[in-house]
Amino acid sequence: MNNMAAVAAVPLIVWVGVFVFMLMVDRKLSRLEAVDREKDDL
Amino acid sequence: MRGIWWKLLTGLWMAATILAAYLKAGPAEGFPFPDGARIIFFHVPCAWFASLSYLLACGYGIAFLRTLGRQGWEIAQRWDLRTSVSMELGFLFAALTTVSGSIFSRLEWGAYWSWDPRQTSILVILLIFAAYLVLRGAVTDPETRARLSAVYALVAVVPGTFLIWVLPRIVYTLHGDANRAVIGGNIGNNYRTVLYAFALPAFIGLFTWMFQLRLRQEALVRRFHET
Repeated sequence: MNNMAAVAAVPLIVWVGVFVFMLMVDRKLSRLEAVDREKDDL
Repeated sequence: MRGIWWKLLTGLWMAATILAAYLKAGPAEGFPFPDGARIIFFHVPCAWFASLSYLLACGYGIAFLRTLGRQGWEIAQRWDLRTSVSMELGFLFAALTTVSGSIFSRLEWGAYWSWDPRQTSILVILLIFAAYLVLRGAVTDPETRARLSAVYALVAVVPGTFLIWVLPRIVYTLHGDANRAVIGGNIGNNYRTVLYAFALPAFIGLFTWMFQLRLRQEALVRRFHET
Protein backbone atom coordinates (compact mmCIF):
# COMPACT_ATOMS: atom_id res chain seq x y z
CA MET A 1 0.00 0.00 0.00
CA ASN A 2 2.79 2.45 0.94
CA ASN A 3 4.69 1.61 -2.24
CA MET A 4 1.57 2.25 -4.33
CA ALA A 5 0.99 5.58 -2.60
CA ALA A 6 4.53 6.64 -3.46
CA VAL A 7 4.06 5.53 -7.09
CA ALA A 8 0.71 7.39 -7.28
CA ALA A 9 2.40 10.58 -6.06
CA VAL A 10 4.36 10.93 -9.33
CA PRO A 11 1.44 11.27 -11.77
CA LEU A 12 -0.46 13.23 -9.13
CA ILE A 13 2.26 15.87 -8.91
CA VAL A 14 2.48 16.00 -12.71
CA TRP A 15 -1.29 16.50 -12.90
CA VAL A 16 -1.23 19.29 -10.29
CA GLY A 17 1.38 21.08 -12.40
CA VAL A 18 -0.64 20.64 -15.61
CA PHE A 19 -3.83 21.76 -13.86
CA VAL A 20 -2.25 24.91 -12.40
CA PHE A 21 -0.79 25.76 -15.83
CA MET A 22 -4.16 25.35 -17.54
CA LEU A 23 -5.80 27.51 -14.87
CA MET A 24 -3.20 30.25 -15.40
CA VAL A 25 -3.81 30.16 -19.18
CA ASP A 26 -7.56 30.29 -18.55
CA ARG A 27 -7.30 33.36 -16.33
CA LYS A 28 -4.96 35.09 -18.79
CA LEU A 29 -7.43 34.50 -21.62
CA SER A 30 -10.24 35.89 -19.44
CA ARG A 31 -8.24 39.08 -18.85
CA LEU A 32 -7.50 39.47 -22.56
CA GLU A 33 -11.16 38.90 -23.44
CA ALA A 34 -12.16 41.56 -20.90
CA VAL A 35 -9.73 44.05 -22.49
CA ASP A 36 -11.12 43.16 -25.93
CA ARG A 37 -14.69 43.76 -24.74
CA GLU A 38 -13.70 47.17 -23.28
CA LYS A 39 -12.22 48.15 -26.66
CA ASP A 40 -15.51 47.21 -28.34
CA ASP A 41 -17.45 49.28 -25.80
CA LEU A 42 -15.23 52.31 -26.46
CA MET B 1 -19.70 26.46 -20.37
CA ARG B 2 -19.06 29.45 -18.21
CA GLY B 3 -17.60 29.75 -14.73
CA ILE B 4 -14.66 28.17 -13.01
CA TRP B 5 -16.46 25.64 -10.84
CA TRP B 6 -16.49 22.84 -13.41
CA LYS B 7 -12.77 23.35 -14.13
CA LEU B 8 -11.93 23.01 -10.44
CA LEU B 9 -14.15 19.93 -10.33
CA THR B 10 -12.25 18.49 -13.31
CA GLY B 11 -8.98 19.06 -11.46
CA LEU B 12 -10.25 17.31 -8.36
CA TRP B 13 -11.82 14.45 -10.32
CA MET B 14 -8.62 13.78 -12.27
CA ALA B 15 -6.64 13.76 -9.00
CA ALA B 16 -9.21 11.31 -7.59
CA THR B 17 -8.81 9.16 -10.73
CA ILE B 18 -5.04 8.96 -10.22
CA LEU B 19 -5.48 8.03 -6.57
CA ALA B 20 -8.20 5.49 -7.39
CA ALA B 21 -6.06 3.92 -10.14
CA TYR B 22 -3.32 3.15 -7.66
CA LEU B 23 -5.14 2.77 -4.35
CA LYS B 24 -8.64 1.50 -5.21
CA ALA B 25 -7.99 -0.74 -8.22
CA GLY B 26 -5.96 -3.82 -7.38
CA PRO B 27 -3.52 -5.69 -9.62
CA ALA B 28 -5.26 -6.96 -12.77
CA GLU B 29 -6.04 -10.65 -13.03
CA GLY B 30 -4.86 -12.46 -16.12
CA PHE B 31 -2.08 -10.04 -17.12
CA PRO B 32 1.63 -10.95 -17.09
CA PHE B 33 2.37 -7.70 -15.26
CA PRO B 34 -0.73 -7.15 -13.10
CA ASP B 35 0.11 -3.67 -11.78
CA GLY B 36 0.93 -2.37 -15.28
CA ALA B 37 -2.67 -2.82 -16.40
CA ARG B 38 -3.58 0.34 -14.44
CA ILE B 39 -2.41 2.32 -17.46
CA ILE B 40 -5.74 1.50 -19.10
CA PHE B 41 -7.43 4.13 -16.91
CA PHE B 42 -5.59 6.73 -18.96
CA HIS B 43 -5.02 4.90 -22.23
CA VAL B 44 -8.67 3.99 -22.86
CA PRO B 45 -10.15 7.50 -22.29
CA CYS B 46 -7.43 8.98 -24.53
CA ALA B 47 -8.49 6.54 -27.27
CA TRP B 48 -12.16 7.39 -26.77
CA PHE B 49 -11.54 11.10 -27.09
CA ALA B 50 -9.28 10.68 -30.12
CA SER B 51 -12.25 8.89 -31.76
CA LEU B 52 -14.69 11.54 -30.57
CA SER B 53 -12.49 14.26 -32.06
CA TYR B 54 -12.74 12.58 -35.44
CA LEU B 55 -16.53 12.66 -35.31
CA LEU B 56 -16.66 16.21 -33.96
CA ALA B 57 -14.39 17.46 -36.74
CA CYS B 58 -16.58 15.79 -39.35
CA GLY B 59 -19.72 17.36 -37.86
CA TYR B 60 -18.16 20.81 -37.66
CA GLY B 61 -16.85 20.43 -41.21
CA ILE B 62 -20.38 19.74 -42.44
CA ALA B 63 -21.66 22.74 -40.46
CA PHE B 64 -18.97 24.95 -42.02
CA LEU B 65 -19.75 23.95 -45.61
CA ARG B 66 -23.50 24.39 -45.10
CA THR B 67 -23.11 27.77 -43.37
CA LEU B 68 -20.61 28.94 -45.99
CA GLY B 69 -23.14 28.30 -48.74
CA ARG B 70 -26.06 29.93 -46.93
CA GLN B 71 -24.62 32.73 -44.79
CA GLY B 72 -21.15 33.43 -46.14
CA TRP B 73 -17.58 33.28 -44.86
CA GLU B 74 -17.94 35.71 -41.92
CA ILE B 75 -20.47 33.50 -40.16
CA ALA B 76 -19.03 30.18 -41.34
CA GLN B 77 -15.52 30.68 -40.00
CA ARG B 78 -16.60 29.93 -36.43
CA TRP B 79 -17.27 26.34 -37.59
CA ASP B 80 -13.85 26.21 -39.26
CA LEU B 81 -12.34 27.19 -35.92
CA ARG B 82 -14.12 24.30 -34.23
CA THR B 83 -13.10 21.84 -36.93
CA SER B 84 -9.49 22.87 -36.51
CA VAL B 85 -9.54 22.63 -32.71
CA SER B 86 -11.19 19.18 -32.87
CA MET B 87 -8.49 17.85 -35.15
CA GLU B 88 -5.72 19.36 -33.02
CA LEU B 89 -7.07 17.73 -29.88
CA GLY B 90 -7.59 14.52 -31.83
CA PHE B 91 -3.92 14.54 -32.77
CA LEU B 92 -2.92 15.12 -29.15
CA PHE B 93 -5.12 12.36 -27.76
CA ALA B 94 -4.15 9.94 -30.55
CA ALA B 95 -0.49 10.58 -29.71
CA LEU B 96 -1.16 9.93 -26.03
CA THR B 97 -3.06 6.76 -26.93
CA THR B 98 -0.16 5.54 -29.07
CA VAL B 99 2.48 6.23 -26.41
CA SER B 100 0.49 4.79 -23.49
CA GLY B 101 -0.48 1.80 -25.61
CA SER B 102 3.19 1.16 -26.45
CA ILE B 103 4.10 1.23 -22.77
CA PHE B 104 1.29 -1.21 -21.99
CA SER B 105 2.40 -3.40 -24.89
CA ARG B 106 5.95 -3.55 -23.53
CA LEU B 107 4.74 -4.44 -20.03
CA GLU B 108 2.17 -7.04 -21.04
CA TRP B 109 3.33 -8.46 -24.39
CA GLY B 110 7.10 -7.94 -24.25
CA ALA B 111 7.63 -5.34 -27.02
CA TYR B 112 6.85 -1.62 -27.44
CA TRP B 113 5.72 -2.21 -31.02
CA SER B 114 4.74 -5.38 -32.81
CA TRP B 115 2.76 -4.08 -35.83
CA ASP B 116 -0.36 -5.49 -34.26
CA PRO B 117 -3.46 -4.41 -36.29
CA ARG B 118 -4.75 -2.20 -33.48
CA GLN B 119 -1.35 -0.57 -32.96
CA THR B 120 -0.91 -0.03 -36.69
CA SER B 121 -4.40 1.41 -37.07
CA ILE B 122 -3.87 4.00 -34.31
CA LEU B 123 -0.60 5.00 -35.96
CA VAL B 124 -2.40 5.54 -39.27
CA ILE B 125 -5.07 7.59 -37.47
CA LEU B 126 -2.31 9.70 -35.92
CA LEU B 127 -0.84 10.30 -39.39
CA ILE B 128 -4.27 11.28 -40.74
CA PHE B 129 -4.58 13.87 -37.96
CA ALA B 130 -1.03 15.08 -38.63
CA ALA B 131 -1.72 15.44 -42.35
CA TYR B 132 -4.68 17.71 -41.53
CA LEU B 133 -2.39 19.99 -39.54
CA VAL B 134 0.14 20.02 -42.38
CA LEU B 135 -2.65 20.89 -44.83
CA ARG B 136 -3.75 23.86 -42.71
CA GLY B 137 -0.20 25.08 -42.40
CA ALA B 138 0.38 24.86 -46.16
CA VAL B 139 -2.54 27.05 -47.28
CA THR B 140 -2.31 30.76 -46.56
CA ASP B 141 -5.68 32.05 -47.77
CA PRO B 142 -8.09 31.62 -44.80
CA GLU B 143 -11.19 30.76 -46.82
CA THR B 144 -9.43 28.28 -49.09
CA ARG B 145 -7.76 26.74 -46.03
CA ALA B 146 -11.12 26.40 -44.31
CA ARG B 147 -12.80 24.80 -47.33
CA LEU B 148 -10.02 22.26 -47.86
CA SER B 149 -9.88 21.49 -44.12
CA ALA B 150 -13.62 20.92 -43.91
CA VAL B 151 -13.58 18.54 -46.89
CA TYR B 152 -10.58 16.73 -45.44
CA ALA B 153 -12.29 16.30 -42.06
CA LEU B 154 -15.38 14.97 -43.85
CA VAL B 155 -13.49 12.50 -46.03
CA ALA B 156 -11.14 11.39 -43.21
CA VAL B 157 -14.05 10.02 -41.20
CA VAL B 158 -14.36 7.12 -43.67
CA PRO B 159 -10.91 5.56 -43.11
CA GLY B 160 -11.07 6.67 -39.48
CA THR B 161 -14.28 4.75 -38.88
CA PHE B 162 -12.87 1.69 -40.60
CA LEU B 163 -9.61 1.77 -38.65
CA ILE B 164 -11.18 2.41 -35.26
CA TRP B 165 -14.30 0.25 -35.31
CA VAL B 166 -14.09 -2.26 -38.17
CA LEU B 167 -10.52 -3.48 -38.74
CA PRO B 168 -9.77 -4.55 -35.12
CA ARG B 169 -12.94 -6.67 -35.19
CA ILE B 170 -12.29 -8.53 -38.41
CA VAL B 171 -8.68 -9.56 -37.83
CA TYR B 172 -7.03 -11.16 -34.83
CA THR B 173 -5.31 -8.66 -32.57
CA LEU B 174 -3.68 -8.88 -29.15
CA HIS B 175 -5.82 -5.91 -28.24
CA GLY B 176 -9.01 -7.97 -28.58
CA ASP B 177 -8.13 -9.97 -25.49
CA ALA B 178 -7.50 -6.76 -23.54
CA ASN B 179 -10.89 -5.41 -24.64
CA ARG B 180 -12.67 -8.53 -23.47
CA ALA B 181 -10.77 -8.57 -20.18
CA VAL B 182 -11.28 -4.94 -19.22
CA ILE B 183 -14.29 -3.41 -20.93
CA GLY B 184 -16.09 -6.73 -21.22
CA GLY B 185 -15.98 -6.98 -17.47
CA ASN B 186 -13.89 -10.11 -17.21
CA ILE B 187 -11.48 -8.35 -14.92
CA GLY B 188 -12.12 -7.79 -11.26
CA ASN B 189 -10.66 -5.52 -8.66
CA ASN B 190 -12.80 -2.44 -9.33
CA TYR B 191 -11.40 -1.76 -12.80
CA ARG B 192 -14.78 -0.96 -14.34
CA THR B 193 -15.69 1.36 -11.45
CA VAL B 194 -12.48 3.35 -11.71
CA LEU B 195 -12.69 3.54 -15.51
CA TYR B 196 -16.34 4.64 -15.81
CA ALA B 197 -16.96 6.51 -12.55
CA PHE B 198 -13.60 8.26 -12.18
CA ALA B 199 -11.54 8.32 -15.39
CA LEU B 200 -14.32 8.94 -17.91
CA PRO B 201 -15.90 12.00 -16.19
CA ALA B 202 -12.44 13.43 -15.50
CA PHE B 203 -11.46 13.14 -19.14
CA ILE B 204 -14.79 14.60 -20.29
CA GLY B 205 -14.04 17.68 -18.18
CA LEU B 206 -10.42 17.82 -19.39
CA PHE B 207 -11.33 17.52 -23.07
CA THR B 208 -14.06 20.15 -22.77
CA TRP B 209 -11.73 22.55 -20.98
CA MET B 210 -8.89 22.07 -23.47
CA PHE B 211 -11.34 22.56 -26.35
CA GLN B 212 -12.66 25.75 -24.82
CA LEU B 213 -9.16 27.13 -24.07
CA ARG B 214 -7.96 26.56 -27.62
CA LEU B 215 -11.17 28.01 -29.06
CA ARG B 216 -10.89 31.16 -26.95
CA GLN B 217 -7.21 31.58 -27.78
CA GLU B 218 -7.77 31.24 -31.52
CA ALA B 219 -10.80 33.58 -31.44
CA LEU B 220 -8.65 36.25 -29.76
CA VAL B 221 -5.87 35.78 -32.35
CA ARG B 222 -8.37 36.19 -35.20
CA ARG B 223 -9.84 39.32 -33.55
CA PHE B 224 -6.31 40.70 -33.18
CA HIS B 225 -5.60 40.17 -36.90
CA GLU B 226 -8.88 41.84 -37.87
CA THR B 227 -8.14 45.07 -35.94
